[in-house]
Amino acid sequence: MCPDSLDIDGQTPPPLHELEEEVMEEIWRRHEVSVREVMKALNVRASKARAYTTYMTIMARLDSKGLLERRREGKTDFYRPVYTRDRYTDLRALGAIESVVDQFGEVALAHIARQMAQLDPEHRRSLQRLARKQ
Amino acid sequence: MPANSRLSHRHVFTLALALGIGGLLLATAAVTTAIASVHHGSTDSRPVLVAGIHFTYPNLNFAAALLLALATTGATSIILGLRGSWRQLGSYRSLVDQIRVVEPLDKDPRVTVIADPLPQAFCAGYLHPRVYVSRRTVELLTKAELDAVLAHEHHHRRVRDPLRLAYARILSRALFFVPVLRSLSERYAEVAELSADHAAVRASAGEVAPLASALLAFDESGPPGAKGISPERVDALLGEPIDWRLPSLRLAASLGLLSGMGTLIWLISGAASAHATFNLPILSSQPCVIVLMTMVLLVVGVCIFGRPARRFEAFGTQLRRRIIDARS
Repeated sequence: MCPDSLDIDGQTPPPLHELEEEVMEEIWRRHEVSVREVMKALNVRASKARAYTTYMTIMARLDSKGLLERRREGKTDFYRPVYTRDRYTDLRALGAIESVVDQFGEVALAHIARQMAQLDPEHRRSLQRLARKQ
Repeated sequence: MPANSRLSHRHVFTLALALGIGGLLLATAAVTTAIASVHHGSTDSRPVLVAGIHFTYPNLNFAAALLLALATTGATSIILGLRGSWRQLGSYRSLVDQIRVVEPLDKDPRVTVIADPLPQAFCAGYLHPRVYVSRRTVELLTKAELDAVLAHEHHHRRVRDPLRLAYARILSRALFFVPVLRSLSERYAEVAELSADHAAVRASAGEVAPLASALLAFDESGPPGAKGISPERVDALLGEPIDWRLPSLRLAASLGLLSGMGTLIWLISGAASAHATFNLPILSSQPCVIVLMTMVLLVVGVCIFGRPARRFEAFGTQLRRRIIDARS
């Protein structure tokens, strides 16, 4: 496959950093939430409670990154995810250049599926036949 | 396939180990012999006048010149080896820093679950290797498939494959005068997977299906255009004999080169110590030559190890990204 056919269409959503991911996980679970709801849910589990402003900043950042959608109701902002969790994972997988393991290709590690060769259609069919023999 | 692949697993690595140690010993011998044959004395060096400045150049015989060439080769190998090891350690540390650990795997705490958008399963670490799987892997695979994958990775962990792979890779680049090392290093990487696959099938009570369907899952969701499962692994799972022969010509050439170098060093060292009338350029009695050489070496060192090299690499990465962006 030549590099031209790489599916990079500018739609790859940005990666999530540590706290962003915790927040997104909570939002994916609840669908639409306010900052206060996220704070309450995460601070119960966290070893050290974080301030309201921290969550507010992170959710505003996720909104500007295009991962959340904001809806204002009175004085409260409600956020909902732009992608479902599965859709996000799929889109990220398409832009797989961001994968940590691929970034460090020069590290000697034993990876189950990163050899120098590629399966030809015939071998792929053989592997599919083997996989069905349960 | 099993007995066959396990046999070559052991042999390929033992051969690479022996050749690597042999090559390193020779490289060290060349350097130490050259240093030992240096007899410092200003009377032995010859003066030369360049643009009004007095320089000296070493007075060396043919044997000494040959020994110097061998020593340069040896020193280059040693430096390449050290640089390779340093880089491996450095990039492994960065990998560990950047990996986001989610949790240990519930049913097997020796396995670390990491956040990664792709299905990943690998073994990393040199002295105490660990098995890593991405959360995507855990979500994607059935229990039987995951068990097969974990058995595969635990096999890598038990035999310390990351260390072996690093060793083979570093030495195959450092000992460029042993051409067979590169083939052996690449072969070891393949054979390590075959052996781990064999261990996975054994752990699934001889069933090939769980591993086969797990491999398909990894192969299908890998990054587009990336390399993946080698056809040879499918052949091995099908029970077909593995068709790999030792590159005997390259092995013979490598052994010839190594023994030739060894003999040469031994013979020349005798001749050089008998005459003992040369100075290495660095040890020339002219102090400014020493200063100049040190400065040149420093610049070379900084370019190889230091920032300019890293900046240059970063520039390359940036350029590649821009090209990809421009294309889309």
